[in-house]
Amino acid sequence: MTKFKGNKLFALLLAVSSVVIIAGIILYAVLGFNTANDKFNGYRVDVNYNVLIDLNKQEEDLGKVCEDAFAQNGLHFTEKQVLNSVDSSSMNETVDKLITYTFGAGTSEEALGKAVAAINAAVGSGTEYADAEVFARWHGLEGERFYDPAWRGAIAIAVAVLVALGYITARYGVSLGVAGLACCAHDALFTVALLAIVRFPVYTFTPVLYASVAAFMSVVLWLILASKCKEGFKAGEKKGEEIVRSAVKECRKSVLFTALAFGAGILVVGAIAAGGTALAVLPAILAVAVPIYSTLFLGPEVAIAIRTAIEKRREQKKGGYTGKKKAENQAE
Amino acid sequence: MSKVKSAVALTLITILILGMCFMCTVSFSYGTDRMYTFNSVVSMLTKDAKLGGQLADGENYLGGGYTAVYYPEGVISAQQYEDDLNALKETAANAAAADKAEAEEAVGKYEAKYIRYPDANGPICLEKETVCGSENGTEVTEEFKKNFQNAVSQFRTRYEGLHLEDVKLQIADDYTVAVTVPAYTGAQGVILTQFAYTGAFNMGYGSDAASATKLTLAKGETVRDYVKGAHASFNGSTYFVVIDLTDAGRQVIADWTASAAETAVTMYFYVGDNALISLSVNETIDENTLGISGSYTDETSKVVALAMDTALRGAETDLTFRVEDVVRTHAGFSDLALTLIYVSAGLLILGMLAFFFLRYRGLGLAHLYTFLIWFFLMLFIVWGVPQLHLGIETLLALILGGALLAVSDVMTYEAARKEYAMGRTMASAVKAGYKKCFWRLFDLHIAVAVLGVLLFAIGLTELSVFGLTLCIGAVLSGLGSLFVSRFHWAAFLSFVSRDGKGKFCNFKQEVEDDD
Repeated sequence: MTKFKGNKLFALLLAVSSVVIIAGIILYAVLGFNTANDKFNGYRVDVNYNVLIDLNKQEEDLGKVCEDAFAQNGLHFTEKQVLNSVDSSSMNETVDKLITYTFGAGTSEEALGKAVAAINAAVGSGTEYADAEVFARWHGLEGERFYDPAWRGAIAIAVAVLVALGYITARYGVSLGVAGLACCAHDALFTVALLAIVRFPVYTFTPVLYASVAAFMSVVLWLILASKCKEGFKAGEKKGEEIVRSAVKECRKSVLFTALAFGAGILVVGAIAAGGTALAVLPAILAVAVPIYSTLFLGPEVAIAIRTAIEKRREQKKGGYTGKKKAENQAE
Repeated sequence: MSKVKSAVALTLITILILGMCFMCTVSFSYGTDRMYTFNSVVSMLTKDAKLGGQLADGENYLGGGYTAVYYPEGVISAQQYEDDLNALKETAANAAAADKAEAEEAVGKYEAKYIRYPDANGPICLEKETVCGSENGTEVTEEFKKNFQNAVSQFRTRYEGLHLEDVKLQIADDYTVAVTVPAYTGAQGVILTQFAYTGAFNMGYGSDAASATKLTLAKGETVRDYVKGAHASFNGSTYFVVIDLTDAGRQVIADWTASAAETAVTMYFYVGDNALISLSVNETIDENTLGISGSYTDETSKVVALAMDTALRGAETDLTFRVEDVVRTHAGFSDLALTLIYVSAGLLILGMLAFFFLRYRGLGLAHLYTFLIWFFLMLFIVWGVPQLHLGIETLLALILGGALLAVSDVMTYEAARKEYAMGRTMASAVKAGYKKCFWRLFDLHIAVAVLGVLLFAIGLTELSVFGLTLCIGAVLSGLGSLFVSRFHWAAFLSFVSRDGKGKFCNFKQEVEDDD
């Protein structure tokens, strides 16, 4: 009955994981990740002005002129920055400055054109800004993506996980090593698949980072369980399945506490840090949570399956051994 | 450990921690008129383009990046157009009566020369003859579009090949290219200017780059029949641009430098019309590989090699580009981001210590000392190791490394607690606890360090930085939890009476009543 339950649970977990991972791969292939955070595509309005502007008052007023023009044309900017121009040959900052306003990808070009024309009319010759040579322009931006870091990252994670788990296999045996490898691969894939499915906005560089955090967590949590199993295997008093199941029970608290310790760090930084940092750090919580599932549910079932097969084979070998008897018969 | 030894050791360690804390966090100015500034390690940490911060001198800003716009020939910014037009109009207005007509004609000609794109309020102006094919053209020619696309493809290969994080390439206004490079490279000027060079790769020799005799190609030949490629290399602290020649290329160079022993020859290597390298030769060169050193750094050698290699292999383009509108950008995640990261790190450390002091009372001091040493060492390492800088990936690796140390200490403390509960003495419980945990923690840290070092070696950009930080953090965490923390534990316990040791660590013995 227990075995039946275990097999059924394993099949269910495997099905859930497979569905999520396959759906994630398909969605990634079709849509990629939601990399809206990068602001690769969108619009920008640059308002250039020189040092003759009265920095204390006019700079602020200029901002108001621009923002009024945007409001009148129904435009909402997402970011405003005051930047320094740089001399392109010496790369030193000059006294000329610019205010940049960032707009989303769905912004109307016509409205931007009108707003920019209104700003230029308000700050042109004959106005108090004339000496500062204020000039506004809008830009449409379309990002080009780099794929090298993503595929090299995938290879790096695969190789790193294989080598780290090779070490675990050498130290803890085949069943725990292979199950750990399965957990690691599962966690890395499951984490990025979830990100692709839920369409949570990420930065281009973060999915591969989350996958490596998941692999790291997977190694840490799996080793907690594996060391407990190893103790049981060493004692050799119980069957593999029993040892693994009791190790899962005994380690549940440790695994949860460890995951909580790592998760708390990410949560605190994510909760306090500013917008961009939070958006980059917070999804890593997924990479901490997924390995709990694989360590406590999926991995043990894989380890049990392999361990049982190994034990069966050993027993068969023991049962089939007739060398000594044959030798005795021959001697007689 | 005797009380005296412990007192001396703990005093020295406390001084060390306070010293590290001071160096890491305190910045101040000193000297006459405060002309010198001591910058803390935290303020001097190299920051990526997403983070950034002002140094204590108030002038230098670390982090952020530089953006520039590449304008192809025939395309100018609307501001440039307006400035030029206003200047011409002013000349016409101030011109003497005899010259007025000519000046006004110049204004008209200039207005007719360009078309604003994509509409009358557009951000760029296209020169009709160059971009639209004729003086009266209004549509961009297919040839220009193809050339522009080829140039973009070349820029893309170059910027991607840099393998630097926070590098951005965007098509701006359909016919210009906006590029962003992080400030931490230190080679942003070289990157922005040399990557803008387009055109074919070539080489030549002569007295100056403009009049040098260039390689003449026979019908059906390409430069690739002479040059295989270019890459960066280094030997110790000397960086090279290496040019790989074919046998035909080797022969050409040997011919050019045949008389170099008597009269020095200068060789030039071009991308388009721009000489990227000029090499003075005093002896005959007869090699298949040409290693050219100069004042190259790791990054500048890569930039020059990449620019030449992509010119050699990339799609051809006739367009030349100008670098304009260069701007210094601040932290992409806002200037407040770094401060909030420091605040959250402080809160995180406080939370962790609260847990340790509540659960282990005085033993929390052992963890506090170990953690602070680990933390400040990590800050010094991130500051000192050239491959590392402060970014989101470093932050994540530091969180994971710190948590690894905390979890490892909890594991050993809990193991010792169990042993103590079973009736052992404190010294014996600590010994047994560490013995029980040693291999478990050893394996944990080794596996994480291996994971980290391979991510560093194979991964690129953020993943590589994450891997290296994680690897160093895991090694230090392993040493910290297995040796340093144990030492601190012993040192602190030496001040506690025999009966108070359990209370000091908040450990209890399960005393079985024989009766």
